[in-house]
Amino acid sequence: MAKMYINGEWVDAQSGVTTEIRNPSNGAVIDTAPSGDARDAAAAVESAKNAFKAWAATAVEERARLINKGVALVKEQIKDLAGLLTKEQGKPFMESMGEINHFLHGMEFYAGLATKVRGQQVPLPPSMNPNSYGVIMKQPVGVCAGIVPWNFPITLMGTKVGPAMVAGCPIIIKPASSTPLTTLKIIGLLNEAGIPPGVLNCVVGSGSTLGEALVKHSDVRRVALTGSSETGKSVMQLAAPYFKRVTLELGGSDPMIVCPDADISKAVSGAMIGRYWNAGQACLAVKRLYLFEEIYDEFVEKLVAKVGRYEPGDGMSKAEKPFIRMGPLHTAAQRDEVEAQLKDAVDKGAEVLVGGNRPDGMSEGHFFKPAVVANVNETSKLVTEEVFGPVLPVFKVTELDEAIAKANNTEWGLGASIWTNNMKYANKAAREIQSGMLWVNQLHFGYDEMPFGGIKASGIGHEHGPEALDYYFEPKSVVFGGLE
Amino acid sequence: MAHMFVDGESVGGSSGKVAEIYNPATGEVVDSVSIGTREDVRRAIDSADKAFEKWSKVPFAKRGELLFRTARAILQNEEDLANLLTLEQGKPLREAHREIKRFAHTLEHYAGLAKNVRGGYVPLLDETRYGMIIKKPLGVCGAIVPWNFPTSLMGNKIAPGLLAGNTFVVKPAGTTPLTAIRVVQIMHDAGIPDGVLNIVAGPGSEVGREIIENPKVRKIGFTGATDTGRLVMAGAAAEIKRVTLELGGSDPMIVCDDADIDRAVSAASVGRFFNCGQACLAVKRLYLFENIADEFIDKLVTKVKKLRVGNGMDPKTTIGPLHSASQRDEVEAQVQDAIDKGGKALVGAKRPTGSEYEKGHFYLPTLIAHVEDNSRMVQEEVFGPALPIMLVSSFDEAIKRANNHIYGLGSSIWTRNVDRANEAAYRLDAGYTWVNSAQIIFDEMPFGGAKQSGLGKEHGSEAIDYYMETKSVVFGKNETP
Repeated sequence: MAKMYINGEWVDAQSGVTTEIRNPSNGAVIDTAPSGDARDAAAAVESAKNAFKAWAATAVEERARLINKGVALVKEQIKDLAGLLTKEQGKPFMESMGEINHFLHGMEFYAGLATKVRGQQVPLPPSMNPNSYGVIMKQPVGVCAGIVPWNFPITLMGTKVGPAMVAGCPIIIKPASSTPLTTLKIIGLLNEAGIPPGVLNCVVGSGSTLGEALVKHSDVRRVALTGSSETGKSVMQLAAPYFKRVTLELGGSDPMIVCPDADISKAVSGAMIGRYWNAGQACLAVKRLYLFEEIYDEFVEKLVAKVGRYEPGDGMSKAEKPFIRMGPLHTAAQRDEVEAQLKDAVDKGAEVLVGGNRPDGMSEGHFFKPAVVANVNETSKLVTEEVFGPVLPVFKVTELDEAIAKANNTEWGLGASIWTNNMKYANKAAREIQSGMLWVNQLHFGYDEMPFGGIKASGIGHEHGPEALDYYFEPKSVVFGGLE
Repeated sequence: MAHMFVDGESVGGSSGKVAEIYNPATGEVVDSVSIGTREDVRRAIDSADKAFEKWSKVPFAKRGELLFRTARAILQNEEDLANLLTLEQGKPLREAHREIKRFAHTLEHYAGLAKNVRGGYVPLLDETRYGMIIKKPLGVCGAIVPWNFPTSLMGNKIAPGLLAGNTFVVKPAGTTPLTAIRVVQIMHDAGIPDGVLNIVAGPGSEVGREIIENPKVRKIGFTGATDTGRLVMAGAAAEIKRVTLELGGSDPMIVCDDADIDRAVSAASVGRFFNCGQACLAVKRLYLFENIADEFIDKLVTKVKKLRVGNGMDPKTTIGPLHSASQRDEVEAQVQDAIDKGGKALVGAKRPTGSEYEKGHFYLPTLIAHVEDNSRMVQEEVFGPALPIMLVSSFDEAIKRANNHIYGLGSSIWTRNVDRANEAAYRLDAGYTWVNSAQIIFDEMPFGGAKQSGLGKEHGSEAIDYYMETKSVVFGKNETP
C-alpha cells in the first residue's frame, strides 16, 4: 500500500481513505494509494514553509549535489520503476524507459545550471544620487505546488521539481490520482539522497479537493500546472486572490505541414511518432496533418502502412516485428471521448483509412486501434477540439499560405512543425505559425535545452530551458546610494 | 470637450454620454469627456487588432525612431500638458512637469532599446539540430491606468509594448482622462499609425470589463488597487491572458542608528509627501532606531511644517489637494483610528483652514508617532499625506515588523554598515529595496511587487519581455547540401 511523502515521512491520508490504482491494460489492481484532502495539503505546505529558509540558504553546489545523488539512486532502479510506470499508466515499457531517462536528463540539466545563476548590476543615472548603482537579485519565490497529469507522470513532475529545487524553493507535487505510484517511489529516492524534510513533498488525492486546497493555500506562492485548458483557467482564477505566480502548460492541437520538397520518409516517421507516441495522449503531439497535394497520396499511403503496424497490447509485452507495441488508453472515459470525436468526423463525411476501432478479444483493457482519417470536415470535433488519443486527421493543401491559415485556425498555440528544404518556407512558418514551439524537419520533442510553453489557450509561462528557472525566482531591484 | 481616440480619429461615444472633469483644488469644471460603452471599446479593440498586422511588421529600428519622435513631440507640448495634468489631477505644477518629463524619458528609454532586442541560439544534442528562440509581440494589449500618475503609468505600458510591436487600447481613470487623451493624440500626430494606440474613457464596469473579457485582447497591463487587480487576474484567466499587475504597497523605511540623518529625513519627506502621498510606491511606515528617534523626528517635523499646501497652479505650492473627497475621507478615518489607539499627532492631522481651501480636498501633511501595529495606518495602505512612525530597538525587529504585511512593493534602509545593508537587501520582502537612497523609480531597473503588491515587472529592459512571447524553433537537417 502506497503512502504520501510529507516532511520526510511516509504517511497515510489523514482521513484514512484509500483508492485502488488499476492497470489500464487489464483492470487489475496494482496497489492502493491514499486519497488525501485539504488537511494533507495543509500539512505538506506547513512542512515546506518550515523548510524554505534553510533550503534557500543552502549552498547551490550542495543543492546540485543532492539532486545528482538522487538521480543516481533513480538510475539504479530504472527498470523496476519503468515497469511500475507501465503498469499504472499503460504505456509500453520502452516508452516508460524513455520517459524516466528524459526525467533524469532534465534533473541533471538543472543541477548543472545551479551554479550558473546570475543577477545583474545596473549603472544608474547620477541625477538623484551621484555614484549610485542598482543590483538585480534573484530570490526564490517561496513554497511551490506542482500539479502533474497522468500522461507523463514522471517527466512532467521533473520539469517542476528540477528548477524549483535549484532555485531554492520547496515544492509539493500532486500527481494525477490515477498515476501516483511511480511518482511516490521517485520522490522517495530523491529524498533518500539527503534532501532536508519538507523540501520535496508528494501528496495524493483528487484535484477538486486536495488539488484545489493546495492552489488556494495562502502560503503557496507559485503553482505550476500541466493539465487541460479548463483546469488551467480554474487554477489561474484560484490564484488571483493572492497574485500567485502561475505557469500553465495546457492543451494543444499541433499542426504539422509537409511541403512538396520534404523528405517524405522522415516526415512520415515524424508524423507517426508525433501522433501515436504514448497512444496519442500528449499535449505536445501532431494532431492535425496538412499535406501539400503533390505529395498527399504518397505520404498517406506510407503513413497508413506504418500505422497499420501498431499492435495494441499490454505495455509489458513486446510486439513481434514488424509490429509495434501501443498501450491502452489510460481510462475508459478517455477512449470514449476519442471514439466520440472520431464518430463525429465520420458522421460529417470523413473516411477512416486505417484503425479506429477496438481490437477484438481485449475487452479487459482500454485498447483502441490507431487511426488515420481523411476528408475531415473543418467543423468536426477532430479539428476543433484537442484529440487526446491515437487518431490523426489529414488534410490536403495547395499552398503554404493556406496551410498556415488552417494551422492557425484554432484556439490553441502549443507546438507545430513544418517539413521542407525551402528556406523561405521554413522562415515563413517560424514567423507566422502561432505557437510556442516550431520544429523544422523535426519530430515534436520537448528538449530540456529549449523553453517550452504555449500561447493562446495553450498556456502561460515556460518550462524547460534556463528560462524555466526564472519562473522560480523573484527578481528584486536593490539601489545602493550615498556612495560619495 | 475631449473625446475618445479610436483608429486615428477623435470620436464621440456611441451613447452620447458625457462626464465632467473637476479640478480637485477648486471644484471647478476643467472640461468634459465622452464616455465610452462596451461597444466603443470593441471598436477600439477591432481597430487595434487590424493595426497589429502592419505595426508588428514595422522594423524595430523604425518603431524606435517613431517613439523618439513622439517623445520630442511630448516635450514640445510639456507646458500645456503639465498645466492640464495639474488642473485635472491636483498635483503641483512642478510635479506635473516632472511627470510629463518622466513619460518622455520612458519613451526614449525603450526607443533606445529598439536595436538591441535579442533572441537566442541553442546548440542541441548533435550536429544535425539546433534551436532558436525568437521573440514575437503578443497582439492587442489593454492598458488600465490609475489617476495618481495618469501619464507616466500609461508610459510604463505603452512604451515597451509599442516598441515590441503590440497595439493598445488605453483606459484612463474616470477622473483623469484629459492629459492622457491629449498625449495619445500628440503621439498619433507625431507618427504612430491609426489604430496602434487607442484610448477610451469610461467606467471600469464598461470599458475595463470589455478590455478584460474581449478575446482579442491578449495582455492586460494594470496599475491600480489590489482588489481590482484580483478581478483583472481572475477575469483574464477565462482567456488565459497575460497580465502585469502593479498594485498597492505599504513600503517600510528603516533608519538605523548609524544613518546619515539629514539625508534620511529628506528622503522620508519626499518619499511620503510627493504627489500628496498618493503613490503606490511611497514611504508608508517609518521605523526608527530608538536612539536616533528624537533627533530624526525633530528634524522631520521641522521639514514637514515647511511644506506648503495649496492649489497646484500656484508656484509656491509643494502639496496639492487630495484627488477626491472620498480619498480624503479615507485618510482622515485612518489617521483618526491611529489617534484613537494611542497615536500622537506631531503635525497636521487636520484640514487647512482659509477660504482658498474651502472648495478643494486639502489635507495637511501629517506625522503620527507611537502608532500601534494594529492601527489601520499600519495594516492598510495609506494613500495620502500621513505617515506613521514606529520605534524599534534592533535591526532584526525592524526587518520583521517591516515584513509583517500583505504588501511587498518597495522598501528602504538607511545605514552606513555593509552587513546591515546587505542583510536588508536580501531579507526585506519587496520587489525593490533602496539603500541610503530616496525611493526613486528608475527606468533602468525592473519594478514590480512581491506578495500582494502584484505580478510581473514594468521598467527596465525586463518590461519588454512582458510584452513579447518567445517561440522555440528547432531546425533539423534534411540532407547534406
